[in-house]
Amino acid sequence: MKKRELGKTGIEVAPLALGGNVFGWTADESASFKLLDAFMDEGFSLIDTADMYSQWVPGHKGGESETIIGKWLKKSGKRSQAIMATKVGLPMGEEKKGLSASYIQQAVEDSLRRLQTDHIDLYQAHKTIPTRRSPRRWKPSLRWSGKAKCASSEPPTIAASAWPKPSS
Amino acid sequence: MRFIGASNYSGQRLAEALQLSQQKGLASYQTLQPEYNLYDRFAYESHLEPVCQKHDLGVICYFSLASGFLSGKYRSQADLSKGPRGQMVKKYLNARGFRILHALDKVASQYNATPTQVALAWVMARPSITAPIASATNLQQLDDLVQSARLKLDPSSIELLTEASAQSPGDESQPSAAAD
Repeated sequence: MKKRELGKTGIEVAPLALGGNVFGWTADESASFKLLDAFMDEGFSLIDTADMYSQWVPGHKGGESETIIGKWLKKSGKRSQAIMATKVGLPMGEEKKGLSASYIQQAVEDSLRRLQTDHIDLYQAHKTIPTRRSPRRWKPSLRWSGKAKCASSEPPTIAASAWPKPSS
Repeated sequence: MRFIGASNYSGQRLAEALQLSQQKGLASYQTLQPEYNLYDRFAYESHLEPVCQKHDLGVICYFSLASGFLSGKYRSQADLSKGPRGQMVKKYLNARGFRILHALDKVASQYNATPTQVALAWVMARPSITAPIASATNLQQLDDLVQSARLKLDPSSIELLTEASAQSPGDESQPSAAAD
């Protein structure tokens, strides 16, 4: 099974990512642990989730998937082999949504805590969200360092992103 | 944080974001997560793929099995009650959908594989795609996913599948672009 580079990141992955939406939803904790172990044992590494998984399930608030993955990362000791991808932006609650700098800073800390790790390998904007700000007030970019979360082998990385004005 | 990526962006908005990052000297999106599978091809292929290729983005796609439709589990209205995603599959039960299932069955039997494995292998074979995302709720399903990464389809099989999923004049129309 030939590995591929994830864009220009230098991260090499086998050509299949495990979707984390089912963890805590249609796969309970025990089943989720077995799936994650088997996936890694077969030579794969890329695990994709989102902070809001599985908020659509009655009684869930979001964070269920990350929480289970976090427990597994801790228990299995496989954090260094796993490539963790998660997302931010879709609603986790009344005020907890969007892609503003202040919200992302809060959301990333929440994801790190649930995942029981000090870094996320790939942090994704879940959905592009138009801003209602007028062009004058609209900040064309946001630079945010948070606490730069880096793999120990990586130089410190300042995560920064740019959100363009919504097309009219 | 090591890298940032985008999900559910339109081609235009993704291009704008990448351009702005470059102009401002900011870190830019390294990956895209679009919807892509043998049935839902056109929004990605027409609008997003050119941007991803131009900027060398990694692409990890979701709904790689069209909510389970491409597993072959749902082949009639009666099958829709078989799984939690049954209602999401309803839209695939049409002439084009059945044409795709037929091609998947044919290729699967040639390789002694399953429709799931073939459908994922077809996605993996597209040069712009880094890795499809798929989920499993038990080890048997996971094994199906694992085997897909070991299945190498020959060009004629890939062509057969690509042809079967092409739009025909009689097919229901496709949405032209991903929602922004």
